Amino acid sequence: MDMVMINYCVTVLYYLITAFFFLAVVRNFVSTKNIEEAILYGIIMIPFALRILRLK
Amino acid sequence: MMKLRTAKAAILLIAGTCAAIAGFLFREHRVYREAVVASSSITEVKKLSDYSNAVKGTVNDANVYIFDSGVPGGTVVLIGGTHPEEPVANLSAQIFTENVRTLQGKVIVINRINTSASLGTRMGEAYPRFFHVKTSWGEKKWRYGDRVSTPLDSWPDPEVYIHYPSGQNLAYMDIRNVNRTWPGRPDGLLAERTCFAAMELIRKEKADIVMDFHEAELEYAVENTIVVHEEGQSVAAMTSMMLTSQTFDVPIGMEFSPKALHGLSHREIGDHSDAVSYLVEVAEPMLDRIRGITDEELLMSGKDRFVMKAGEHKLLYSPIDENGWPVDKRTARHVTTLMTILQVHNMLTPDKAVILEGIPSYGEMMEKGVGAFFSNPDASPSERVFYE
Amino acid sequence: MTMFHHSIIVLAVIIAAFAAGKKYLLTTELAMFVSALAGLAAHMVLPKGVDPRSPLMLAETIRHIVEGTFTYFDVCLIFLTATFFMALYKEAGGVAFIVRKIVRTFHARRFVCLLLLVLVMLAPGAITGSGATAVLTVGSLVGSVLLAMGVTEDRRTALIFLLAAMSAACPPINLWAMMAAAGANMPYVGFAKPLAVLSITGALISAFWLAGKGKPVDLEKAMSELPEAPEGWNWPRAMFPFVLLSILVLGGRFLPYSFPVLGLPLIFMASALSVLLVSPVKPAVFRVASTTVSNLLGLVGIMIVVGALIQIMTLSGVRGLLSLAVVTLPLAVLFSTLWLILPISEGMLQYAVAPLIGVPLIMLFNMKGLDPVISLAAWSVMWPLGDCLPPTAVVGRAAVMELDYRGDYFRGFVRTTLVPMAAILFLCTLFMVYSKELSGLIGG
Repeated sequence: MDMVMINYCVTVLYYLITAFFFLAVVRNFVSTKNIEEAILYGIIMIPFALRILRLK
Repeated sequence: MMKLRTAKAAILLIAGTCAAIAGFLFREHRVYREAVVASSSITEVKKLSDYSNAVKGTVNDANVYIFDSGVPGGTVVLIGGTHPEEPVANLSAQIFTENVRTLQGKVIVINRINTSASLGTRMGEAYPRFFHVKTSWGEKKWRYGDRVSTPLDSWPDPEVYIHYPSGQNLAYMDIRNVNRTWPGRPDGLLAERTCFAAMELIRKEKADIVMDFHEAELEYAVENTIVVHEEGQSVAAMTSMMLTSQTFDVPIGMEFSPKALHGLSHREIGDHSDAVSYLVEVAEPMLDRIRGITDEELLMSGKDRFVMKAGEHKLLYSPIDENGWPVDKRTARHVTTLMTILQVHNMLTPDKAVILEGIPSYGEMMEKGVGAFFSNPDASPSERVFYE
Repeated sequence: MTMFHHSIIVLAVIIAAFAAGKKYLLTTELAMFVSALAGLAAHMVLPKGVDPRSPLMLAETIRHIVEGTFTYFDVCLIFLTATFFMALYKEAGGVAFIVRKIVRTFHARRFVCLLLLVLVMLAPGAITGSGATAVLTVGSLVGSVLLAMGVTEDRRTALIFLLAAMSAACPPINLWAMMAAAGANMPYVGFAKPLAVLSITGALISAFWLAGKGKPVDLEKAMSELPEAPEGWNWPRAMFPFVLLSILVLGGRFLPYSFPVLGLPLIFMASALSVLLVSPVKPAVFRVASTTVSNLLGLVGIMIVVGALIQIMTLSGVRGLLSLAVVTLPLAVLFSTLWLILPISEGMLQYAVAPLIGVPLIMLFNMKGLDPVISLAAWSVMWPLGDCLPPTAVVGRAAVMELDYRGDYFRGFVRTTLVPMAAILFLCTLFMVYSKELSGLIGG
């Protein structure tokens, strides 16, 4: 496998890492009982979601 | 409990709406294609990947516009769009693409060498997504962009970028900066591969001159100047003298490419090919960190009261007054600088002359505005319309 | 109304909204987000001066806020993955194992033990450029050893913070210097020596001032207070994740052209996976990830919100106003106030201060004939000291969180940092003032 392909695989892994933590954020958003925490989780979700969707 | 659920639903709705609106605008920016009407003397439009597979299938597989006179002479390669937050670089290259007629030698133009960097704006800089130039047939629209490739095309960065082949350490994001990755390598990250492919073009086309267009903040010492590889010393010096004494209101300087600074086009292209490499800078107040309100107006007019205030404190390397640094003037300087470099080059090496027609003069661009020199793609023959 | 008035009023609105948010008991992150929104609203409605301006559509304002949240996205990923790695390691009992071994081996040699702890704290920040990463990866481990050495809670937390700040400043990676150098189109070359001199001296001053003296460690008591490590841990198992981490980081450094670009988040995730391979007990991975996100909510939240705030400040000219205000100060005033301005601005804006203030300062110092490399190195050691200051206080809060600090944040923790912090700031100021003279000695 050449280096370009390896670097491409690394990029794919970054989307998986982002998705992994996005899911953890979603889980915490669902389970928190604190409104302020929920708002902050809501804000944090935005860049994670847009990166996973490859929009930014 | 019910209240909490309702609140969470509202949070999701608001966050989702904001993400959707922003996502739509990001996508609109990313998929917008810029029309280019190549001049009637176009002989061929290739892709960068025709010279090297390193960029095949990537967004940086740029259009390469070739204008070959068929008369033996020199070859000049023009590079625009290295840093898409410096729009005049792109406009200057495109003035050549749309107007040039080659009488001797060959002209090769890349309007956007780092397309990826033009597909998103620089985070934290509050840039507009597009800029517009008025023409007689309406407004022509271009993508405004970042200094480096977007992470959507090159992710992740290393902790520190080690330049190939010098081994010099550079900031991590510079691995996405096409003016830090020359001469490039075929199996590196996107910007390194882009430079490698462009080097292959320069070597295979046996280029004599390579010009890389840029803009710089007024706080930056390398300003309103030609930076040149040592091979081009005499041409750049004469060009600087001619333009300063006869044409430009603000002088244009000349300086040598530092030997210890690696990855830059003016150093590496000269070192790794037979071409003489030049880079020109012109003042762009939009790039100054001390600028005021950030919007398209500032980008195009180059007028900024905060930057003027810094000038009063003698903190700038370029003059600025209430007339600013309008895009017409910035583009006119770049185009005229290259034309003068060619004029001097032709004088010194007539067997490698590159003789061009159709390029507007400094006075014409200042009088009519650069918009007068872009054609309407809807009213042009489709075989001459290309998209970036 | 001129553009100056416009930006001053927007700045006032941002400050007022932040203060109001804090008064009405919003968290720092939400108060800052509210201040960004208020600043944006003020920018939209206020006249913008005599020069023509482009219209700003509502949808574009939303785009600006969202785009700003991406500014520190990669830094957030580093925080999350580094903390996840160490949380897994701790959960598996690796931290307890190492701490018990260090205390047993070095309990009688305080000087050597302190040097070792300084080294352990400096390494992660020096490699990653992040003080928070240093705290989140080895902070609790070093904190436990300091506890066993009889260092009080205030001093322990202060020392962890100061070592983390110095580790972020320590070469090879100093993000402030790198970002400012990149902004000024300077190569990141020649910074290693001045940064090393300042940060290592700072770390040693902090360590010996705060933990140099103390009663000899009562080994039996200390061991009985430290948590037990699960059966099955041994040195090879305990070191494997760190060896892997070092190999992956150094591989990219020593074989840059034949080693793939992995980036720190992936390296930390690979190290986290290796914990699962070597650990005798298997931690619940997703539960640890959720706890990590919960613990880092403040840190990640502030980085994302600060990005949005900076975008609005830039849009409205406030960023330019602040930069202009700093660089138009007379040089003598700058020399005598930068030791305050830099840490305070770091507390406000995090890494964004490097391009915001650093770049104009480089231009200014260069123009005044001072050495920009030595000066930038000195500022880049002063900046991280502000990471315990509000509103962001990223590393300070991480230290407090990791060490489970129960004292008063300002009167206990921050006050304890003041003496060594003042010494470091004084040293950096000397470097800045005599940058030209020093450039021959330690310049690149």
